[in-house]
Amino acid sequence: AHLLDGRASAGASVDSARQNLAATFVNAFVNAGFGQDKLMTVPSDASSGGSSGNWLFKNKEHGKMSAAASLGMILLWDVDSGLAQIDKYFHSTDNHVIAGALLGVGIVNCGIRNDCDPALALLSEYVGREDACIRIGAIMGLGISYAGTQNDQIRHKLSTILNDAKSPLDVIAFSAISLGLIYVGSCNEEVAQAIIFALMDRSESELGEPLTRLIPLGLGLLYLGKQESVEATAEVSKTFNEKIRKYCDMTLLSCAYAGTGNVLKVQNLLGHCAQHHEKGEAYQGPAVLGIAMVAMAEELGLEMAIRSLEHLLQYGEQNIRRAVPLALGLLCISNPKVNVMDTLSRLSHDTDSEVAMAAVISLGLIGSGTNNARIAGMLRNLSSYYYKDANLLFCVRIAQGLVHMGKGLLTLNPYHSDRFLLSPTALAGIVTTLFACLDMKAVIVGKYHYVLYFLVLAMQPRMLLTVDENLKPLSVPVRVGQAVDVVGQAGRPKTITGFQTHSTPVLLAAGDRAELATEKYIPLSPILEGFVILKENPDYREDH
Amino acid sequence: MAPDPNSASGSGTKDEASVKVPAKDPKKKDDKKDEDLSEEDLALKQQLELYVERVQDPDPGLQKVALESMRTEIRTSTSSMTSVPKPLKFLRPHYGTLKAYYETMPDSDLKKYMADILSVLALTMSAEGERESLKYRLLGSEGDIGSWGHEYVRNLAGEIAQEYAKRQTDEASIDDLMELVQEIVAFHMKHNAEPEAVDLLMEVEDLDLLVEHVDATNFKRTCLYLTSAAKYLPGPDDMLVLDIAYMIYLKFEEFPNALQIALFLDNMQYVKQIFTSCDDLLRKKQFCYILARHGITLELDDDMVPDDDDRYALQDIVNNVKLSEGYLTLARDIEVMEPKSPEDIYK
Repeated sequence: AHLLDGRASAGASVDSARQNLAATFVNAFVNAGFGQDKLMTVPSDASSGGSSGNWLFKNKEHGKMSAAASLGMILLWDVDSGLAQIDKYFHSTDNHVIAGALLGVGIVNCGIRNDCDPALALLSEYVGREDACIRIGAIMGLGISYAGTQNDQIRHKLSTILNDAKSPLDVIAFSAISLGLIYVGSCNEEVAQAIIFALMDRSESELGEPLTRLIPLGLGLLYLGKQESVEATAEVSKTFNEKIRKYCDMTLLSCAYAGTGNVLKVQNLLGHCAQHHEKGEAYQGPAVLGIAMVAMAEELGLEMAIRSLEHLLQYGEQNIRRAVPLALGLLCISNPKVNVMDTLSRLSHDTDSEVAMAAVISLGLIGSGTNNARIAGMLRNLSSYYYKDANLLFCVRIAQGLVHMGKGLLTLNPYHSDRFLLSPTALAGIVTTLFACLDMKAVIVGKYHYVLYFLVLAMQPRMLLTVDENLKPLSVPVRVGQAVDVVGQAGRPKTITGFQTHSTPVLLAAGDRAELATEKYIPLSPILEGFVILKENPDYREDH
Repeated sequence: MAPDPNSASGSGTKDEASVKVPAKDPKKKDDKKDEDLSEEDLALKQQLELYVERVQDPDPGLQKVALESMRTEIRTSTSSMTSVPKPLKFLRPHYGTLKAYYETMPDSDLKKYMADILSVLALTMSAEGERESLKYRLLGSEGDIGSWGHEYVRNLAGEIAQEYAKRQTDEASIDDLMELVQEIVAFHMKHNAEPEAVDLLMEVEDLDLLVEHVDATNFKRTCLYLTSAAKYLPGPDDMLVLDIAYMIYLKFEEFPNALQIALFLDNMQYVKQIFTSCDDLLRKKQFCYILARHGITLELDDDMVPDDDDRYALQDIVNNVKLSEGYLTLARDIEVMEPKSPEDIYK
């Protein structure tokens, strides 16, 4: 290990601001929701600047935005505390810090609803400010905290921005995404119109920009999982400029059939990926992600999709090869399957650096929140392998942060309830991050790294917490083991195998199921995940 | 002389499968030879051959006795379902004769009994795709379908599926088939074969019939099968199947499962219905936890939760207000509250 250390310090060619940014993200992911860490919430030692002045200013420019926002992630779900601590950044003179604070407010409120709408109250006035960074911080914050709520007030504000010719491109892109998140799966026509006009108003040169590609995604999120409802909009998209037309088509198709398992659509997408082109095309990237989005609905389809994706690696175009690791990451999110781990490990040494970067981030995704030792080991090796390559090292650090997310207590899996229900906001968050990762250089290792924070929409504790009738935590013995599929089996077969007995609260890994090991209580839900209320069993008698 | 069973290979795969099993049994290696049959078997065989002759006798009295005796023999045969019951095996060579005779019989109860027997024999004898078992069943005496055994019912179900498809293309009536379907579904549901009942109803596109046959003992398995099958069905069948599962869950007050299906279908009406159908406040709290995990925004209204204070408490749960608390409880229990620095992670 000392040899490795020596190499790291000798490689001082690595940008230290970049390293600090990576550390910011790692710190945020690892300490997410705990309310305390060693960088941002450290009590103040010096006079002014407040507690985290020190670490914040170790980052440069847009890095400060991510640093300020990381406070939001550390205080995740604790709205009162979070707003209180982030408040000091609003008095900063640095626009990046304010932008980060706005984003942080949005992150803290992610998934928490409140009649007083504190996030809306704080963020809405910043949406119309001059500075692009501040606007993006506020817009993204609104998108994250109000995802799925279909809030009209925010719709008015953001639609106005979309159709304002003077809005800069990045502001428009983030507005489209936020609207897509807020109205996810709603098929709302007004929002669709606003986004369509925004796309049509873009100039030729703008259509070539990497961020522009997020606008069709905003449109697609409106129809997430809604299948045929997207057809009217898909017709309109055929009239777009040819630079963006196919990209838009693929995005809409992928989003509309996400989580449905529709075999015909998967074949359709595979067909698109089989096309060969003379010059670099971009539209096949979303098609590859689409295969994963559609096929992830059930186990068999998932396995088949993994195989198909590996085939795509062999004969696919450049944009396909860059998307395959991300698709694999989506299929096995928070579920470290060994075969996928090996494929990603191989791809992380690929000659095309974008493929390698995608593979590294995906390694982080498949192990997210699991503390998986094997992946952690792979990433450690990769960090020394890529010690000279700033971009790749950055990705390795992010991946390491993901693997240890929430110190192993969180999951990014959008599926819950015995893998039956798909949370639309969670999927939307993951998909947004993945689409952004389709262009690593411009976005993730460029100046828009804070899109990684969209993953917060999918973060959930992977626990079983039993509470009593007064909603106070109650510890009972449970058996936790591998879930067994008993469909069509006669009698009342056991639904778990290879179990161990623990007391709640317990952690549940992907594919695990829990059952009560005592007759003393009756659970009010047959699916033992998350919060479960237990009622005392009136028929129970203490007979031993 | 019993004919060579191997030569029966022309009459369909069912025949071949059932022929192979006795071939494995060392005791009856070559059924060609009568001498290999045990005393009892020989007697039974001869008895059955006698019945076949008697049935063709012009005297109705004799016919009746012979028919009834044949029927009893077949019904009481106690061999397992993996090998063909002996009476069926011995009657097989006479299938053609009996069929031909049936055509000449005048309409009577006897003819119906005959049809029953032919229907059972057709189980093993009829050619693939002929659906003779079904044909004779429809002509038969409509007795209790289960008394002929599980295999008979299953075979019939298979033939109905084929017949239904044919009738659809011909646009013929299916009422007689549907009566039979009712009986078969009732039989399957009573005998814990819910997937088979569901499959049959899906073939005849009438899943609504299922709801009246589910009871407290079998609804869980039925619904589990329905929800799992939904993943593999093309639309609109998948939605239909889930609707039926939802109704069954609601009928038996399994509200959390019904809520799951309602959320899967993204149907807010159903979600509201669940709240209004359930009176227990504690259960409603559990629903709220499930909704919170799903990330769904829902405003609880007066119908769903009549009492104001209760409603605020429940709305808090849906709004995920307690999430941070629960998460930190978990963290304290697992003892990971200590903050970690990036250096800890890199190593």
